[in-house]
Amino acid sequence: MSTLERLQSIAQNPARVAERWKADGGKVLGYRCLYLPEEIIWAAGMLPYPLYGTPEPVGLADAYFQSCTCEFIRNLFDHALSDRLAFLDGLALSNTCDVVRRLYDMWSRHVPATPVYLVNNPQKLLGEANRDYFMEELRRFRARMEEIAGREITDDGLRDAIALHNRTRALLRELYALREQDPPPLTGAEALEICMAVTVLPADHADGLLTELLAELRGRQVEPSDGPRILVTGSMLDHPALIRMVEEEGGVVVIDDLCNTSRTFWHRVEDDPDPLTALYRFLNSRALCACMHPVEARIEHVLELVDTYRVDAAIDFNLKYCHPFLYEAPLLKERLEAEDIPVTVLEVGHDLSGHGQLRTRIQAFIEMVSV
Amino acid sequence: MSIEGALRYYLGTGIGKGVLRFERLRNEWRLRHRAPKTSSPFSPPLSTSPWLKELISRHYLTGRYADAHRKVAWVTSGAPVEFLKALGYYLLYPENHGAVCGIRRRGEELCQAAEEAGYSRDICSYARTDLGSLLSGRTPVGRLPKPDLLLCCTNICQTVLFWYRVLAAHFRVPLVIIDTPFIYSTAPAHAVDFVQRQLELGVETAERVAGRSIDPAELERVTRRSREAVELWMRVLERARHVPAPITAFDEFIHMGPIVEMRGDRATVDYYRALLATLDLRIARGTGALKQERIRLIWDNLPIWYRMRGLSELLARHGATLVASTYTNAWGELAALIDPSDPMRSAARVYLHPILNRGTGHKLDTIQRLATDYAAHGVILHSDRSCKPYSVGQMDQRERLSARGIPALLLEADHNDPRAFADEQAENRIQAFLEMIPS
Repeated sequence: MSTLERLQSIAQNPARVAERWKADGGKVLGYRCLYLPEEIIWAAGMLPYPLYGTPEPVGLADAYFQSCTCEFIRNLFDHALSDRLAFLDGLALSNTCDVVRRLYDMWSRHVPATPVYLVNNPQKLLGEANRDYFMEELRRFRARMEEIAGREITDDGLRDAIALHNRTRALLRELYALREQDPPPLTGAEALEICMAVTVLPADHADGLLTELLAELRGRQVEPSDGPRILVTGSMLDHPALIRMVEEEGGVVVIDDLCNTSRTFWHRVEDDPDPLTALYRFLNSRALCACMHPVEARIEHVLELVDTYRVDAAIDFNLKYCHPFLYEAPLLKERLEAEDIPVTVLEVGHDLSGHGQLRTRIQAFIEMVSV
Repeated sequence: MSIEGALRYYLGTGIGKGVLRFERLRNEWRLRHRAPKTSSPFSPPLSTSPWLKELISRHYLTGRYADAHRKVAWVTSGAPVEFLKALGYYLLYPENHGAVCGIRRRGEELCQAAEEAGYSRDICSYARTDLGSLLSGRTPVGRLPKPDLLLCCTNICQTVLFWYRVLAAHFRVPLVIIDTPFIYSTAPAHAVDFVQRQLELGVETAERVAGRSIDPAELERVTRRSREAVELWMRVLERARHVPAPITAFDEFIHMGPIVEMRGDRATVDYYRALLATLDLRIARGTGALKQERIRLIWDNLPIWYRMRGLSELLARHGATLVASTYTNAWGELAALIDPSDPMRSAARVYLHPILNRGTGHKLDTIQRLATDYAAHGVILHSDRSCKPYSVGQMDQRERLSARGIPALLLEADHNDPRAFADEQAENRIQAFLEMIPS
């Protein structure tokens, strides 16, 4: 089995990684989304485990969340209610959207076996007016993680965790740099699976695999394609089906800007004598999700990606009911179109239903931009 | 801010105010002399209603001319506005404008205008109404003044953050965001410090835009009037504890206009004082808002603006009415936290604690407390498609209320988009619910 295939198989069943870690006597700390540092969890000796959903229709969670709320969150809550997340020793959420805040509420009431913690991060980033506040939130998060892990998090431990995670981020940046090539040596669907696998793996283990993977991909022979180079953006896609669909219809997905792919590793933690300050600066610089402010930072970032990856067209996969991205879509579209980048905004469900209709729209879009 | 602008402002608002005063006097005269409808299940309208109409119309009338002569800020309904008032800004509330459009049945058309411009039908119908109005230039209030400043406080939802970014991109004016951390129990000191720091920075921006500095004495005066109005509003609401209730939540949804839009104004204090006196008179005479009150209900969430009359008539046919709501209560419950002698610190605390910035457990407790205090027989939980922070958790709340012996109905609708409301189905469900309530 090639390294790529190994990573793909992990992405198909990420829970196996957590269960194995658990079987070896470790603790697993689930989390979502971008605005809490996995370094703190790692430095507490726990496995930071980002939660991914499964493309199934919502079930049990429908008794707690209205049907017009985020399907991804409802799907995660389904997992929790049906004991599929029983391996978690805790869940940490960051303050992103209204529905995540309510997930915190519902989780604390109805999943008492798994303690849930909210890192109440500010939503207004970049400026340092939030510094004292955010630092205190991070100190509290650190203390809570120490409690759950039952051990102290030392500054040295944090520094090591930062160095380790920075290495993983650098390797993923290297991987993504390969996609600047024409044709790129890996598909967009593969890149998504690699990201999913790497984010659930223990960081020290992921690094080795990524190094092997890079060597493997550098030697890979790929057929040239004259399809348009596509940027995929949106909140999260935790299944490769949609990106695969774009590629089946002739698009070449050269870059993705998603909460579970490039946003997780685009920035690195810069050095600071105080590791917590370093983490604060890192999180505060990452205004890449539409939940955060200022949105211009995110739009500029997308425009840079368009430039670096020589993008011909963009697809905005908007998860249904994902408000931050729904509001932002017209703004982003306008800015990209001003740069002569055609954009299509597609509202997509979290399960795989409705894909037939999406295929027709993707087909039409690719045809339009290929002319 | 030219001489011509000043002339237009004073002339336009001056003549308009005269017309509105005349209308109010005429309406008051009519109210006094009109024979009450014997067939109506309702008592005659509150005698202060013409005054309220004048107050709200005058606010929008001033708005029409405001940008010719004054600085204008568009603000969210939960935003700390006292410092803007003290700096002489005219304040426009897009949410209230949305509600006005809803009441006048313009919501659907304006929502559609926003949808045509690429805004999803799944986003808040206030935002769609407002953006639709902005993009199409259509509004039932004549004209909205252009803002010089936008003030957005996330203590009611995060939607406002996303919505106001769109406004900022459209108008290209400074956007002040007061980012309020979520509070599950009580606010920790570092959260209050954070909000206070943002308020101080917000004041700096507002001063720069206004081209003048804030007068601390004026800020204290405005804050004092805010507190006075909020306290009076709370007393108005509490009058409905009386059986029969002299005022219903349907009335309150309209009468809340000044506490939201004109908090900090002398006129608001005067109005609520008069309203209170009217309610006391009703109580002394034993007059209820409903002639035959049999079932008393609590309402949770925003009203369904475009079906207010229909719903109140439907309930009234069964001798039922709304005696309190978490929504109108939200503008009164924080009165005790307002401290005019320390306006910034107390504003930071007050504006962190609205019901929507807190956990669902807090809301459940509030509903239960209201049910007890207002001797209610049941609760209607309006599951508002447009308001996630208000609505998520209601399914759980319904179960918990029922377990505590308080019947609760989950009514699916949307506060401003009638397309998300099925009349017949809603009517059947409400009827079935009312029949089930022992009274």
